[in-house]
Amino acid sequence: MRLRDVDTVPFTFDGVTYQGVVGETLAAALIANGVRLVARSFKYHRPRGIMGAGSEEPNALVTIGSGADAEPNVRATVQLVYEGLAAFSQNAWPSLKSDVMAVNDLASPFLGAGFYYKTFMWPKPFWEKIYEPIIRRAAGLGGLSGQPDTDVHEKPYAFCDVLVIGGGPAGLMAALVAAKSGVDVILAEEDTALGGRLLAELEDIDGLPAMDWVAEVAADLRDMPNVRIMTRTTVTGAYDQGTFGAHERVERDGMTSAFWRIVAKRSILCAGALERGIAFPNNDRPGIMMAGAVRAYVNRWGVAPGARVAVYGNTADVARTARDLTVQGIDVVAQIDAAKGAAVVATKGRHALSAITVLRGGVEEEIAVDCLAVTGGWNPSVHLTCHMNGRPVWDDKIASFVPTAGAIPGMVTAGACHGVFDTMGCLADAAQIAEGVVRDLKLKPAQIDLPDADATPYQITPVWSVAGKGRKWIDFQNDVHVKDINLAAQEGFKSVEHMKRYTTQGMAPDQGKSSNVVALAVLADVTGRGIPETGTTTFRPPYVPVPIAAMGAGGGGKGFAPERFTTSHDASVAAAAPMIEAGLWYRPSYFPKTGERTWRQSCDREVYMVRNAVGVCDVSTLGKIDIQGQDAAALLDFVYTNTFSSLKVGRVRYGLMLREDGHVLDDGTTARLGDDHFVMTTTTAAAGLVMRHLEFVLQVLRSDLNARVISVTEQWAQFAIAGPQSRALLNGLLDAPVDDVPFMGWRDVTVGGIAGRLFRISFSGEMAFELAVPSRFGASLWDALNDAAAALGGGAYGMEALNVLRIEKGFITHAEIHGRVTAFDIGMDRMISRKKDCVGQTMAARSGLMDENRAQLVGLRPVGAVKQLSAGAHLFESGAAPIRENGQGYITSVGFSPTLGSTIALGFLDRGRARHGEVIRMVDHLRDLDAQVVVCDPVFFDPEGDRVRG
Amino acid sequence: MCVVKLTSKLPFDGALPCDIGPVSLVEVGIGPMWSVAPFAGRQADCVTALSKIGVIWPDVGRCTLLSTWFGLDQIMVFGSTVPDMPAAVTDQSDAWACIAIKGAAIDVLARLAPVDLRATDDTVWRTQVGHMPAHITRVSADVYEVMVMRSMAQTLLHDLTRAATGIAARG
Repeated sequence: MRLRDVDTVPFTFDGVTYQGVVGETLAAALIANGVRLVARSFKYHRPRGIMGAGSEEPNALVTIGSGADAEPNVRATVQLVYEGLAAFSQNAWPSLKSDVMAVNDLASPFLGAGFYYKTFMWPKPFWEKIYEPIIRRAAGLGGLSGQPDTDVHEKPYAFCDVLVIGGGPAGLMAALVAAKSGVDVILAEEDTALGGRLLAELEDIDGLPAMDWVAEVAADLRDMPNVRIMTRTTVTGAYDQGTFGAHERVERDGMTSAFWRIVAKRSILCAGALERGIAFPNNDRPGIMMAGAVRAYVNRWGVAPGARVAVYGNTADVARTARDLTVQGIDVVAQIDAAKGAAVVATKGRHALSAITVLRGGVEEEIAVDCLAVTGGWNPSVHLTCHMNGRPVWDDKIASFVPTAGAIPGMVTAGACHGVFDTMGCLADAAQIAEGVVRDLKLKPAQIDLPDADATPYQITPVWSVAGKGRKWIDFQNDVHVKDINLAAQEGFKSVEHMKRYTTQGMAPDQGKSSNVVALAVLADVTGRGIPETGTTTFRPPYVPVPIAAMGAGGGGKGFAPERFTTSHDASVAAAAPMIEAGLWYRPSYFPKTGERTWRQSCDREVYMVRNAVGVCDVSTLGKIDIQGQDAAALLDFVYTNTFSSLKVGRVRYGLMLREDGHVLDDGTTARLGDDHFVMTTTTAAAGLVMRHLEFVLQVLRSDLNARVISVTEQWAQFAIAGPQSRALLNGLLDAPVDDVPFMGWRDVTVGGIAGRLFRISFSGEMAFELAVPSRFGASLWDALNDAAAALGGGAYGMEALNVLRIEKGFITHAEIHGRVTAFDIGMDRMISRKKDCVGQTMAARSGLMDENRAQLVGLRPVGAVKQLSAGAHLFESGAAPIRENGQGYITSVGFSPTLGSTIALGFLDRGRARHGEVIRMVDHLRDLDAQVVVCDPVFFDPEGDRVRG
Repeated sequence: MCVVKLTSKLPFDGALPCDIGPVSLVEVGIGPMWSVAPFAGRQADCVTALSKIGVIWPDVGRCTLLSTWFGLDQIMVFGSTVPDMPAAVTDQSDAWACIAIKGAAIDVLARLAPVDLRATDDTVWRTQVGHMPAHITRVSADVYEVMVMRSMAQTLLHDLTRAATGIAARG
């Protein structure tokens, strides 16, 4: 029932259309429409209604929307109504009213805490395959659609001097003091509006309604450029170095939520307090609500949770709730003062509360009610102060826990979460705390006149549970009642952490917000310990559920990793080349020609073209590092196994680089541009790694060296021109002929007047060059190279052909130098110069890394009926069973060589260099391949290297 | 011998400018840009040499009209030539792609860069934008420039567009 005239829009719950007010919570709208039953409980499928009015709601979890975008487990108390909102109940079948799984409730005497652990022990294999799937289906909350989430989320950062968490009276005052003192403030408030409890209470500040004061302060804060107010934003976690996670619900077209990371020099926690219940028999019927929530629905949302309401509790809130209801003309049929020993001992009503039985002065009386407002007192929201293992301390005055000072570096607490419960006290506390924070930031705090507000002291007589027949629920979300906790203690789970795990109390989305203190009070009682000794369980982030989609915002699709494109990318795509990713770069696999139906046809043609005419290939992705300084040569001598100080200007040398542990890090060529100037090339995959390695060497290992390194990978577009016609191509393209450039030499050149560099190096075994120009000319040069190559019977070649060409020549890539091989393994141990020191030299000399029995690089060719070889296959002695114990090596690279008319492979084989000519067995268990192969030298083609020298 | 004529292409090659809600993205032509990394103990000489052609050496995390801080012992200098000086000087003109974000620039970058963007004009950051190593310059309260490796230009455009779309969706 609504208490005010309002404009409404239609929304649906379980397919039934109701009227709601835009911007009110779904919970308020359901109450306005008299919907009492909104959910079924987790384990027993008990009918449940709305209990709270905030994010702590344990019962009213619903699914919003349907299909791919359906969002399960949304608390109806935080979901806002909009026109066309479609909400659905969860955990019920076939319907909320007649849920067949409610049979669990009848079996409840057998389903208490620990039931699963005791019952489903035997037979052991049944647990995973049979019991667990059945239990998971029977118990649970909402489910995901299983389809990709199309909601849009963001993951932004924010920075401030002071983060104020919570926009109630304390938060507003703290923000005001901090902001007026000139610091940058972020005020984060979970609700749609500022005001906190003042939104829900009938209180005056300075003789006017409290919300007038809230509006005035909010306007003041909004006008200040150093204040950022973030409503609908729940701070979910406190992390190191003043970093906080915060979840903002946005709910606009094209935007769903944001997961903020807020970094603050200081933080003031003004999170308020959460009301707790009393564990009396059958205290979970729809219609039994928290008293503070009842006031919120009546005062703030203008909806009546019932027509005949009883109020039960142990603080002055009983009278306050009765007063507020009476003001609205709602019939208050009973005020049950637990502080004076009165109690609710029984309730009635399956799908909605119909009556309660009150025990007062030894007399039981049944009273017909449709709503019971309950308060057991308030618990400060200490959660965030515990995120770094801080433990709250018990405060007898309020019969609850308060935060330990200093539990989070840079955080202080103020107001109700600090254990101050009256409005005047909150304002004064917050002002004082904020002044301290401002002074801590070396500023002078602004003086704010405190308004006059309610200062009635908080008094409480603790009441945790009530004796009587029936289950006395504590954790509504996990269906844990008093008897479960007693049982846990009885079975030896007396530590609060053990009790939590045995009963599941305090788990799941609400994290025991309303149940924790009551649960441990009951545990303290049954174990005969005090509450302070019993202690609390660990509060962990997030404070409220955060969609994983929000935490991973932006990481899907192209947001997963950067795409690196070469300057020839568009041309390759236009030539229909399939692009493959290689270390974030996209490179063409092959360039299909008309009539070619398989990649192999294109690849074979491209290999033939390079071996017989000329091919061009974009090799810009290889790392290029510019090295300068009087000690540049010394640096190279130190990072490479071989010597570079002896390299002449104008020449290029191949180098091998080791890690400190003696294994191979990378290889590549380095050209000497001048006495103190080199340019190093790395493999594509290890470009970043080598750059980091050089920085590490210069900053840590050899800070005595006067040399500077910088990546020039992106500065130069570099193309390989390979094949017998490569020199002819270049002589036709460059501004001057290049006949005088020797193998492993380089020259400054110009092409169309543009300065570039020409290196005569080869990864194909053919006479080959690499031509580099500034990247802005890359696309244009690529086109020119293609035209020139075509005129000589050549053209572009891709990664597949490049791979075949290098396998034919036995050249290694990171398929071979995969991190576990040594220079010895690849037959390059003689490249480790003994005339100088280098990174990895000592460790590479360990006997275990030079053992003749180690797996060594070999070539492999099929000799049996099976011609197909595969990378990843394992090697065995001919006739040996293909089992792990008999393994003698593995294949790293495979290609079909059109030059040799055979599949060829590179791999590592135990004592491989001594076994050339031996026929062994290759087995690939994954691809079901079993082949006879002959071991050979890894250089299959032109072993003398005549072709490369031209 | 044929005469080849090479034409130059900017990293974004016509994809910019574009407007997304309150945000405008514009390509910034970097022009000639040189990294200058003084050899050990020689920074003072480099400062003097550059000052003679009117280039001010930037402090850490700052830029000037013709120079910007770029990392440990490293600055970038803008201009067609740099003087001889005891430093590793390297042409970086083609290595970077640069976008100016105009309008709600701080909000855009807050969605991509983990740095505190509250700063004075001419502050620069070496940080990450999305998953990319980047260099950010605060030109003014409303205009920030972002540089990433040239090869990542399309990803920068993708990430900035996504961030700006989110801002536009909030209205």
